Amino acid sequence: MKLKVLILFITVLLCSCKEVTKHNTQVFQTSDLNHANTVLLEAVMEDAFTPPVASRMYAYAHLAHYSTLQSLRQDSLAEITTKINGLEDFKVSRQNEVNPELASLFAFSNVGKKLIYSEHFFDVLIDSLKTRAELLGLSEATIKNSENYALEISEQMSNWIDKDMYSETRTYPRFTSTKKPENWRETPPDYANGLEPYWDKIRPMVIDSANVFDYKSLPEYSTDRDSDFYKMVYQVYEAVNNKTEDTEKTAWFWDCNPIMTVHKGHMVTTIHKFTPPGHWLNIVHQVASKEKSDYFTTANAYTLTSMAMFDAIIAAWHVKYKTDLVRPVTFIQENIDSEWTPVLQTPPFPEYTSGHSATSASAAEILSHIFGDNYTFTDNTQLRFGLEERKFNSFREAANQVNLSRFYGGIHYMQGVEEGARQGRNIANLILKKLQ
Amino acid sequence: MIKYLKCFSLLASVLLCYNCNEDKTKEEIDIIQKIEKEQENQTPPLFTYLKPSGTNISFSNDIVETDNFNIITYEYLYNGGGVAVGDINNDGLDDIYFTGNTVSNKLYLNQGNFSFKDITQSAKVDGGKGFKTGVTMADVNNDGLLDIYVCKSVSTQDELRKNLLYINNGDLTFTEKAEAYGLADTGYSVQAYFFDSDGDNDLDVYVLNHPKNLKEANVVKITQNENGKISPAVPSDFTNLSNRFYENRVHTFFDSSEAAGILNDAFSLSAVIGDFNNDFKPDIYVCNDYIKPDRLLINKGNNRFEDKIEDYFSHTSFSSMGSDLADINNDGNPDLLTLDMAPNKNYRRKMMMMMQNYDKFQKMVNYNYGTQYASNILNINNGNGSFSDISFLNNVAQTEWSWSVLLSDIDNDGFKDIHVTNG
Repeated sequence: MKLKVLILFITVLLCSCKEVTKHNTQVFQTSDLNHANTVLLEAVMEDAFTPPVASRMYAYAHLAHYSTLQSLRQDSLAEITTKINGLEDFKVSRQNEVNPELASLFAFSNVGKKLIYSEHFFDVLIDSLKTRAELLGLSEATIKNSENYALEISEQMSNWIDKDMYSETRTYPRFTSTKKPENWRETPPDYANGLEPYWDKIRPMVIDSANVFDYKSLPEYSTDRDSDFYKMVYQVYEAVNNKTEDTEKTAWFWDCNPIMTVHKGHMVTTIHKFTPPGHWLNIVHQVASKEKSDYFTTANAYTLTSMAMFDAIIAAWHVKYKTDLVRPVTFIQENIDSEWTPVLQTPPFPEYTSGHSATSASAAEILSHIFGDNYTFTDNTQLRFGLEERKFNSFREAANQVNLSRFYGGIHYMQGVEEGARQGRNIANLILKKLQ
Repeated sequence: MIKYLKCFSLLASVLLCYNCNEDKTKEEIDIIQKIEKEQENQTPPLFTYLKPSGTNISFSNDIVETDNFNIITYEYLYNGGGVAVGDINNDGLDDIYFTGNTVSNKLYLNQGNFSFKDITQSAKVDGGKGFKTGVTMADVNNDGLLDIYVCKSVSTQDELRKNLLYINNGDLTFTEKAEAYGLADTGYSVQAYFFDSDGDNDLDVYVLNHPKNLKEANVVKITQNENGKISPAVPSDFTNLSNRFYENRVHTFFDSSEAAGILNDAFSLSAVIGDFNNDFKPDIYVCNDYIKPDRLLINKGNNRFEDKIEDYFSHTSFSSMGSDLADINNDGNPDLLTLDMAPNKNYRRKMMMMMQNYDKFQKMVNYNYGTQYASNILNINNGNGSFSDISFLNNVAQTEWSWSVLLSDIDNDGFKDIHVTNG
């Protein structure tokens, strides 16, 4: 009995003199940032945003996080915010008693919520951040101050986001294919309109313009069997005809179609997956967990990777609608074999250059820069979609496999993926150079 | 006790009525009398429901869905069976034959006074194994007795998709002779249409089949033809893919689909036979589901047909389902009604709408997939080789998700009425 009373007494004593964590102690860990990133990926997948639109959401949310964090922990991260196009005048006011990581995660959530349809994902995230902050011992005032600080930065970011031409491009005319044989035409099974034909009007984040990459010119269109063009297409035709379990698996592993439609008679079902940039951000998550990377390295990896992918997609889309190249399925069915179908569903936009290749190569460059050239990792992103996990000896090896996957999948020519990859690398290096 | 209660309630109601009557003004009484008079003048319902207990017709086409076999895995699961009505024993009373998709077919012998007798077993016409679809009664062998032709579909085994021909032995029994007559079609059959195509006084037959690959049902498949021109792709092999035309050559039928020019790879759902161009030769209109255009097979004589859909119609239904041909305006020319999935409520219509866009539509038009709109189409025969769609002027364009249509003068007023089944 006496013992029990004593224990009770000690407990009360402990509780009453529980020390409040100092406001700028780093209480939030890499796992919290990883969780926030996962919420973003899930929300984007739920709403089935297309890869370009998704890349914008990822990049802006992570930049808001980075800029907030950097403004409060200037010794831990390099200043990049004012080097971003349109953010040259980015300023922050001095704030007392702000927890840097909490404020950053709030900013991340605010920007994510602004861009997404399914806002409840971020409402839940914000609530859980507050609860966790309390549990971690941050004072009510610190939480409030962090929220206010995040709000100030989010508003500044929001104004900047609103000037990126996204809203304007929503009002532009729909894209109608020229119907010429050499040009892109709507592909089965959806025959959907050309996706984001004005994406190169979107303000890039770091590169000067969408036009920075000097792409290799395409062979002249021809249905002559001896022409370079025909040979380029025929290579895809053969790759699909000679598909093996291995090539098919590779194709599906990197499919990353945010909204695949399955047609059966009148019935159309859709399957949502991570987008290509979403897949790579999930790789960042896995690598950061495995490496037990500190919060700043992780923030840096997410931000630079997502920005590089955003710019790479703008550049790829610029070339796509400039060259307006016919997809393999169209040429092959019309000129080689009407019964031919690709392994993957052909996405609704011109072929050249491959957006996934550009995305992946840019991400691989950034991640190699951060985690090393020969970094071995295992990617289990597709386990939940019923596919296997894959091991890679380097980020660039993974990116090269993406190139092959689009070719094996029958949706890209070899030149399209090779030039897409070169474009991605080129843009990632421009970004690294400018932000250094 | 119950008796007392009854008495009481009777009394109460009498009292109530009495009270009511007393309260009514003369005006109200006039109105009531007027309504009563109107009701007296009103014609009784045109149809009377006869209970299975009275008719002895208890047939029910029950379908049991499983994990592997349901409306999601097979879209045509609820397209239904078939029913054929005809006098099989020439006693002046029409008998009824039902096909059950997965249950046994049934033959009911008419015994007069709307009383029927199930003679399926003794007549040996249960349809056997497989998924039974449409049925037709016709005197296939010209012996004055109605025979029964049963279509089959769905099964992956060719053997179970062989259509059946029950030859009438004249003694209320039948013998299955599809193979012997050359009519054991292994296609995915929907319905057979017997008609004398070549005017030689025997029945030829058009069998409605469809491909099995529903994944490509809405794909515009075009490719270079022999002349290097891009046009709709033609399958290299039409086996179990195409409608079939069988020519009757005295007790045996000859598959002359290719020579007749009717090979196709569309999801055909119904057909009507009639003279579309007043040349006294029966033509065939075929309703095709999904993206493939309907066909108007104009009879050129000698069992040759030519698809003239573009010449006669400016546009057709998109996912054409049921169809019927009858003279709607009594001008002596048959008019055509085809059904589609077109609800008349805006919300429902938007929910049912297939994905369509300008470019796909253009592609369809450019490559001979026809001008197709998702609505019922009531085509009035102008009598000069052209038809005019008047469906939107007549409130018949949108009738929900509609399956089959019958045009018939139901109330004997000299004008054809329209019966549409929805589901």
